[in-house]
Amino acid sequence: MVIRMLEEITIRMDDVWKTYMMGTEEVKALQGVSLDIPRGEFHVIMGPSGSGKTTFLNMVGALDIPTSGEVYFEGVPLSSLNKKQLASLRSYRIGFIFQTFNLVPVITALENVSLPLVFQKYPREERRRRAEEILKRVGLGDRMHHTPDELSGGQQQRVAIARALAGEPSLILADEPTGNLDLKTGFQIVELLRELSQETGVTVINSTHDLKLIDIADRISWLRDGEITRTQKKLDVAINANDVSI
Amino acid sequence: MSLDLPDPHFSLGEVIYLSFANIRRRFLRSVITALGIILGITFMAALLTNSLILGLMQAETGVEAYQFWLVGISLVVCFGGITNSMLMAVNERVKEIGVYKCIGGLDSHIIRLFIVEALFLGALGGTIGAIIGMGIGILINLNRFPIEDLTTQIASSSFTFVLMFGLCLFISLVLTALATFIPARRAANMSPAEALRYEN
Repeated sequence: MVIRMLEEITIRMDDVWKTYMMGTEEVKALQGVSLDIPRGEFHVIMGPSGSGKTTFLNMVGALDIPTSGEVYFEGVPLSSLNKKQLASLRSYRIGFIFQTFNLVPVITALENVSLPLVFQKYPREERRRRAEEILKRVGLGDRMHHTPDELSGGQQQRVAIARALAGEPSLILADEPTGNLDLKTGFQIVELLRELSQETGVTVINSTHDLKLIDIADRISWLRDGEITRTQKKLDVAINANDVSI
Repeated sequence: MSLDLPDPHFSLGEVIYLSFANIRRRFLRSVITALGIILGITFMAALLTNSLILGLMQAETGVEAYQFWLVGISLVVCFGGITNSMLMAVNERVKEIGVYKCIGGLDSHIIRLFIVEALFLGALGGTIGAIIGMGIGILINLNRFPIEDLTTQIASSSFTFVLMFGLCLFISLVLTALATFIPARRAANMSPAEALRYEN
């Protein structure tokens, strides 16, 4: 408990609500979400489609503004930052991974990975060196000069992981990173993400509806209809599962 | 409390590199856009050249009055064509814009990316269009006037023709920049979440 108190909190969500207008209908995508995510944690947001997973990640990644409530990034309330500061925050502190990979289609894997570093004003040589290093780490040393359309889904997602890590962020947000991949490839991708998070100490928030990710997570939050119904450690989930089976 | 991070940065060199990568990889789309510009500028350059030659030869044809309107119409058609191409070009890249925003891109960076690409197409289309159009403007007067008179007149006022070429190029650049700015700004103003959600 004491150790927990001393840990730094990467993300704190304080009663976050988000409502959208879909035509004339009001959709409550998030309904009072409060959650603390300590530094270095691999946190899985588990929920069916339409439960608000993407909205949740959009709030954390400063991609959208909550209707009410506050998100704190390393103690800084996001509502206190202007548009430019939010862009800087995303550039320097957050890496994004998407279900549909979302690589820039007209440039090579290497250029995609070095793109975040362009915005951080890295010199060209440094960018290249760093991008090469990370691409080798994710197992794409021999595919660096291929464009995304010449890569398989799994390879594209590896490039996306490398891109997310390139700027040395303190937080990675992965929105259903396995959603467009077959089971085996999907699992390899998540394993890789888990390994890299342990190597670099980066905090990861990974949304999914795949129960297999329970094995990988430090903690799991169950999201349903825009509310977090439970947040538990992996161990507790396992015990519960045993209870059920007995 | 604040995070004290430097502002995101997007150097002109990188913008130019990415714009060219985009033109190269989306070559067909770029050709179609350039063709639209070429057509409009050709039409305008031909009409202007024709007026200029008629003026130089002091011919009393009475076409000048409605030629003025034709030039105007050619510009409107050109602008419409380019806006349409650029709207489509921006539209198919909204998701990409969302990605740029996720890695630190500002609205102004994104607009810059599109404008540089458009300016290149505008310069290319404007140059080709002006050359073809001026050629046509001269050709259609070949059977009206003796060729010797025509060449002397054109040679003696060559500076006016250079100015006209410059005017065509300038108009082409202004039209493409304007036609791109409108859809690019609309897309750049979206929130990143909105841009990433966008389906086309």
